[in-house]
Amino acid sequence: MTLGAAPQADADLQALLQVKKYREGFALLLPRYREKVFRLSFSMLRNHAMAEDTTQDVFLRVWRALPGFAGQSSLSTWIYAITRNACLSELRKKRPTVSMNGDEDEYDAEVAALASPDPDDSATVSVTQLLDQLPERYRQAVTLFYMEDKSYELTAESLGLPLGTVKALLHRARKRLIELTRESQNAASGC
Amino acid sequence: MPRKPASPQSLAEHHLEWNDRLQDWLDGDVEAADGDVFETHLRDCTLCQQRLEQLSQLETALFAANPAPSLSTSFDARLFEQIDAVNEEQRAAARQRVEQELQDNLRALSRSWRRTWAFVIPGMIGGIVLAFALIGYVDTLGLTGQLAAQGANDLGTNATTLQAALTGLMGATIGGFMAGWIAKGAD
Repeated sequence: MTLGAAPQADADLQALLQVKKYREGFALLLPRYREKVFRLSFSMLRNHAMAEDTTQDVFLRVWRALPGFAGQSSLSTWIYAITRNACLSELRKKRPTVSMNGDEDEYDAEVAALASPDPDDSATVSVTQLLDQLPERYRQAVTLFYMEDKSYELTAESLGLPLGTVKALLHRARKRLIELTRESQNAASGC
Repeated sequence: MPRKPASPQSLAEHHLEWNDRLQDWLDGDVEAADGDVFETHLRDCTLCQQRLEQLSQLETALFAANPAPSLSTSFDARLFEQIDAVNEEQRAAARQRVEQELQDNLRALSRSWRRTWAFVIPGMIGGIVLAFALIGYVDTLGLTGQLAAQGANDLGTNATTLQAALTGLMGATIGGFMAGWIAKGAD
């Protein structure tokens, strides 16, 4: 388990924003949050191109709104909230298209590639397929937790959930995954 | 000697008691797992050993299934292109806003002047007429005529002309001021 960035880590950034040095602030902010925002987007959208476009959109929104950022919440909380909203808008936009095409789960080829059956690696295949059977909240928490190198704090902060809730989601998700694995093994062996 | 819970009920109770600790321990949260107690239990519990094995396998699979994706190398360049476009848009919008404000102010000023003059000129004419009428009607003793004659004498000019000029000037001034106030009041 790794520790997430402390809120004070953005003190330098907040100081720049207070003296209206938005460009300098943004130049600090971008490398600090770029990957995290992208991973959160990816965990929600499950599509590399969409997640990258949404990440662009998030940082454009951040750039536009930076002068109005009052500092009432921490910068990370604000950025992750923008990200979650942007992803939800994308998902809302995507939903009707998906149902019209009859393509129920058109997530990225890259994700599919990760999940693609590899004869030597049946565990990876099954876990990716099993992840799809989990409720969305569980799936997203698990995906982000492992992408964030098992950081409870980063996962909780990104999802905007209390740490205890994230832990509970992870525990239940893994428990469910083990059950699903057992069920699929039983089904395969004809039990 | 490793032991295992006997009945299904004790198995469920066992899961309830140790499953979360096992996961905490596996996540490195030793404090939440109550590390020493858990490790002592783990040494003797076949069920927890099996569960640990399952969770470890699951963990390896989950890591493999969820690699951190990478942004494309052109991400920053594309973003700054968009930001520059936004900035140019904002600058153009700001220029347009200033221009619009200037035009609005000029229009308001022009409207205000037109309205003022529309009140002031008739006001001045009205004032002159009223002043002449009042002088002719009120000054029956001819006091103003005498004062004008004295002034004209001092200035070396015609008394009638001086009296008419002063009456007209006074009437125009008072009429103009009053019309101006009325115009402002109307605004």
